[in-house]
Amino acid sequence: MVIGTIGTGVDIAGVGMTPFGRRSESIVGLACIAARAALEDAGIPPAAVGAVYVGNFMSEYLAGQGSLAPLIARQLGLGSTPATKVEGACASAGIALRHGIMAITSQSTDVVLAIGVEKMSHRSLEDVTTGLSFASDATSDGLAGLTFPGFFGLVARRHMAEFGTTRAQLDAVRARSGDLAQNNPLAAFRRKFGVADFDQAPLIADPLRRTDCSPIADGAAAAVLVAAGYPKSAASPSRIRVLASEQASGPGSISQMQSLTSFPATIAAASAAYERSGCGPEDIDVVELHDCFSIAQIVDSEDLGLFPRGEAAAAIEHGLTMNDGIRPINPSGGLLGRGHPVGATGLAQIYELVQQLRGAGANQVEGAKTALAHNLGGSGVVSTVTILASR
Amino acid sequence: MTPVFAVCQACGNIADAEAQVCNRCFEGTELRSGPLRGELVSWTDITVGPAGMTVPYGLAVVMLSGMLHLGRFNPSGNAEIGSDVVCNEMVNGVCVWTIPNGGGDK
Repeated sequence: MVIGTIGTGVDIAGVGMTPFGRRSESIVGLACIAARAALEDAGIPPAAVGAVYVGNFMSEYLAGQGSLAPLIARQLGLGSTPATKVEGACASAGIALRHGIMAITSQSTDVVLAIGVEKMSHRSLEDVTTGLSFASDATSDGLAGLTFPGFFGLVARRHMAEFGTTRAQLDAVRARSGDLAQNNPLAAFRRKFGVADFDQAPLIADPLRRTDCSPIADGAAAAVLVAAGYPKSAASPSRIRVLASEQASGPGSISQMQSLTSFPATIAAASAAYERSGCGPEDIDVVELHDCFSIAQIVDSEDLGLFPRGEAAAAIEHGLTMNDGIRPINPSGGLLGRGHPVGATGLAQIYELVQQLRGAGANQVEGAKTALAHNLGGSGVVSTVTILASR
Repeated sequence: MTPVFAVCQACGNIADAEAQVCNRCFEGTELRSGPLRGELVSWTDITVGPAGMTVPYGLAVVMLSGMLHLGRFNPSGNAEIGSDVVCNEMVNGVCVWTIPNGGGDK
């Protein structure tokens, strides 16, 4: 199969995103800023939007706000346009994007607005930890007191035991994320991280330190999706083709897992996306993957087939994922550097990859023509993989 | 007194001895005399917990009857992956795993 001969028949016409970090706007306000920016980027009027999908994890618990999608649609002036919230923990925005694509492929509309948003930083660390733990199976993992740093702490220690992954390799992941994020004007942490930062960082869930954890943040990101061939003005930026957008479910609790060092939902979604797009891992020029913790970048890289099992940590340490390496990963700084407003992350990845495919990335991968976004929810209970290509 | 656990015949979930059906899949359970013995797959110490939980506390993933189980771990410090662990009790429906010889540095 030749790359680009198949696809979904859906293009990304425009993208928008707020800076991530501590924000004063309401959750609806954040979503509207990103959405308006995406519509302006696309050169498409709000009246053309036929459906809205909003990815969000915990607006009810953290922001006290339900009915999120229709509230955003009304605030955007979209009148009676149907607006739907989807939830898949940290993969909520990837799922929103996929639902938007399906709305177009099912011919229910030609134009969809996909938005991801979360507001977290106004709540205490304990409240946010509680909210994030709602993604665990409440009858088993939640009962035992599993937190998300705790889950990835268990993954890290097991990865160390199975493959010899080292503390220094985890630090290398974080250091590289900081190097890239300092150039990203939308990133929450725009600074380098060094040995002193790692040594002084407190333990959160042994062996993971605070520097291994993506920062709690507020933010929103959005994309305007159109049917291929939808009219375009000469002034609008080049459109990006969606070659594949796949989603898979995985084990809902540790007792359902076969291994702590792999997420089956990622493998299933990636396999389906590679098949649908006609691409393999070797054909992808740039990747944005879900490094909610330093160990996650290592496991995700292996699950996506970017490196053989057990070899990603050394590959990252030796610079193979740098922009000039054989597998450029997370030029945005990833979740570790950009921040992780959980419901927004999947579309922030799309924002970055669209910039890359337009040749306009803050940390541009030279000549990037194909890109992959990987979004992971909960302890691997859901994953989306999206493959994009420039025209 | 020998501890007794209820183990789900369908999914392997471990419950208090009083549980006649599994709280996860609602299939029947069978009673098994303890202590339960398994192999330590991984562990972590939580220092930032959900609201209302007192930190720090340890968690262990244990391989038992071909299945991974998550429970509390006490003590946990410097426990070696692959070592034997035992469970003599459940607290609030969660197994509490320990190292038989009292290992760990806590």
